[in-house]
Amino acid sequence: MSIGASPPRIEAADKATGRARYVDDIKLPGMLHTALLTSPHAHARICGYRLDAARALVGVKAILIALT
Amino acid sequence: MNDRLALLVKVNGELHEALASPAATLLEVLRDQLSLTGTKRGCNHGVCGACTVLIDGKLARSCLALAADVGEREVTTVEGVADGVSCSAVQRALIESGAIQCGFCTPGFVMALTYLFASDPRPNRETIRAALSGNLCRCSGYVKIVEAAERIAEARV
Repeated sequence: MSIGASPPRIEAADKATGRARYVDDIKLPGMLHTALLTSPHAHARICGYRLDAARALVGVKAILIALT
Repeated sequence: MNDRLALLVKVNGELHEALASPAATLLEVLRDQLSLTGTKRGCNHGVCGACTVLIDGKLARSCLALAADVGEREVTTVEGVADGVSCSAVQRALIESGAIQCGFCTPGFVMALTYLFASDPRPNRETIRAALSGNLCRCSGYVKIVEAAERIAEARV
C-alpha cells in the first residue's frame, strides 16, 4: 500500500451484501423504542405538561421530560 | 387491526412462515419477522429505493408492497443475489469502484443493477442512469455507482 493507492473500504463487502448492521437493524431482548415529541413553537417557554394521554397508551414504560 | 395473518412467503428460494398484520408491508415482514435486515427502510414512502427487492424477477419497492399481496411469488433480497460465499458481479463492481460510502442505499442499488443486467447485459451510460433513477444516494455518490455499472458492462464485451 502506498500513497495514491485506492484500497477498497474494509466494510464495503458487508454493506454490499446486506450483512452490515445499522442501528435500525439491531434487535435486543426487551428492547424499548423512543418517540420524540418536540415543541411546535420555536423558542417557547414550557409552562407545564399534560401526560395523561401518553401514560394511557398501551406499552408506554416511561415519559422523560425537561424540567420546567 | 390487531388480527394477524399467517403468511407463507418465498424469499431467496426458501419458504418462510410469518405472522403479520394484514396491513404489514413486505419490508416489515422481511426486516422484523425474517430478520433480513439487508433491505433498508429509508423513506418508507416509495421514494428512495433503499427497500428495493425483486418480486418474480421484477423490481419492487418492498415498503409499498403488502406482504399479504405477495402470495406465492418469489422474493429476492440483497441477501439472495449472491451464493452467500462470494459477491455477485454487481456487488464486486460496487466495492471495487469505490461506490459504497455510508452504504445505506447500497442494497437498493444492488437490486436495481441486478435487474438491469438481467435484462440488458451491456447497457450504455444513459440506460444505466435511467435504471438507477429510482434510487437515492444521500452521500451523492452517483458518479462511482454509474462507473461501477459501466465496469460490469465493459467486462461483458
